[in-house]
Amino acid sequence: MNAWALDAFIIGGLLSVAAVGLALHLRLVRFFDLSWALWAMSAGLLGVYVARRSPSVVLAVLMGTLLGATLGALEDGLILRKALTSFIPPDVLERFSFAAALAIYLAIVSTTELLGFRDQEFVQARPWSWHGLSDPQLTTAVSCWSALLICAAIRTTRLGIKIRALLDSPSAYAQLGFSVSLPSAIVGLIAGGLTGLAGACFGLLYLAHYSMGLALMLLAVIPCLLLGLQSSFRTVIAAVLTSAAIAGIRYRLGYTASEYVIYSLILFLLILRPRGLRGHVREV
Amino acid sequence: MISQLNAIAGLLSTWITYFAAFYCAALGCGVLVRRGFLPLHLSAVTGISAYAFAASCGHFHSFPAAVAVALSTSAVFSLFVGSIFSRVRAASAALASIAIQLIFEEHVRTASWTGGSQGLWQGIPAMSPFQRVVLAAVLLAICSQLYRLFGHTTAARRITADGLSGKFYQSVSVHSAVVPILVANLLVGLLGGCAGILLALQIGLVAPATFSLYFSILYVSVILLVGYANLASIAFGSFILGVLPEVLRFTGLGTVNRSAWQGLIVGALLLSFVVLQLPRWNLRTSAVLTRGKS
Repeated sequence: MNAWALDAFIIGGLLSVAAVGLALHLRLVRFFDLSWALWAMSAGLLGVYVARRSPSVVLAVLMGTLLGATLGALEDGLILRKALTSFIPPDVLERFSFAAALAIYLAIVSTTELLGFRDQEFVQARPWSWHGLSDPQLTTAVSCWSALLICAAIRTTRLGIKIRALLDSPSAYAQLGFSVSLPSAIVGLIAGGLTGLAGACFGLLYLAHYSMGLALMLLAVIPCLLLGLQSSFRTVIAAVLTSAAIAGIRYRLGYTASEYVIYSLILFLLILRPRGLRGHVREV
Repeated sequence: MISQLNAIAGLLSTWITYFAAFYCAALGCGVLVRRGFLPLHLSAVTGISAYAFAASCGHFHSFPAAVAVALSTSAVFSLFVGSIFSRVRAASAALASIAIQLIFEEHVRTASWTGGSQGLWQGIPAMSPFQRVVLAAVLLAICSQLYRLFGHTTAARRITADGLSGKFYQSVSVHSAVVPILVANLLVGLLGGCAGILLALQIGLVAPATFSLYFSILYVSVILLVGYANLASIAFGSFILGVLPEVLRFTGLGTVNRSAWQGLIVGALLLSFVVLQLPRWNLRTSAVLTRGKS
């Protein structure tokens, strides 16, 4: 297979998982919550930490996913319950979650530094015999696309219908007498799990560093701004298109140029269409 | 005896210079926080100024010329950034500021004129502790006065109103918020520029690690901890954040991991502040809702 296409397939899976996780979380909390980046960073750091101490990359990805899922379930369950029971408007919640995320970020960075973690950590990739793929690359491709298939399967079940109703209007869902705590915790679990998976794979594929969560969040914002948050299928399509473009630029112009293009694209999208190309992303 | 005095003077000048740099950058943060978002690109503004200062020191061999170039470069950069912030607000603006910061980091790591990850050190003048303290005191006075004056201007009031409620501001005001935002960003460029010059002079090296996202977060943390209204509070916050790592190094507690200890203490302070503030936000919001209903 063409190396560019293979790269696009792997980055596409990673970016799709991150974008779907971000879209689910944003639809639930209704503001750009920067603590999402914290979930991804924590999962990435843990993934690299485990991968350097165990022979299995799969275990590292699994641990990262579990950590992300736990953080997501805790935050989404608590925040949404608080928002619906205490009449806290989104802008106050946004300030609160931002300040709390900054505090926890500083605490995590400092603790990991004290534990001997350097500001950039990576895993030496072991070559794989199949098409020259490395161990992290194969794990990323398989786990990310499998996770997306599982999410697609959940969509049509009773749980999926409940989740979609909750995401459409949490207030209406609560007014009908349904408890929001458990479904919102489940949404957080799924969103956090996907985020943790993306964070762990990102750390294993590239580098685990202290701004990786924010870098991944900026990447995941692009598909959300391009085709909106309303449909996970559209988010995946946008993520695949974005990753194909990123891989193409990376192969043609190099890594630095692709970084410039990505961040400039985000700036232009935020400036020109802050509500997304289709106008569905809420401007907060 | 003389060597001991010299050591104490060096230590004091280091503490004062770090304090002044943090204070100036935090003031810049305080200007933009009025718009209702937390700017995470302040480190890029200080970095642009520091790189321009180091490059022009080597080129012009004149301290005033280098300062002028540094300040004007950071002001122009900040004006460009301000044109972006006039289009976006709240978390979108915070995301845009992160993107700007990451573009800056990528550029200084890879460009040849910045010396890559090694940084620039040739040409930066070696100042005596006394000279550094005098310069820091002068810049502190100028920046404080500029910030105080800005707080009394119509531009500051308009930005604050726009930050509190953009839709309300647009519906009641005949003036656009674009010009006040640009004025505010010009001021941020000057304040961040002063911080960059002080950091370059103190460290003697302008490298990417000094101007990373981490420092932007620290500058924002000063404002989150103490607010933006009171200069004395900002000075106190800057003293804690700017001088704390040096004090830790002096006491021997953080010889190796001083930034780690600093982050841990600031993180704990910020978290306690957030936990203490949440009930107040909640009560205030509930009171507003109750008044609205009655």
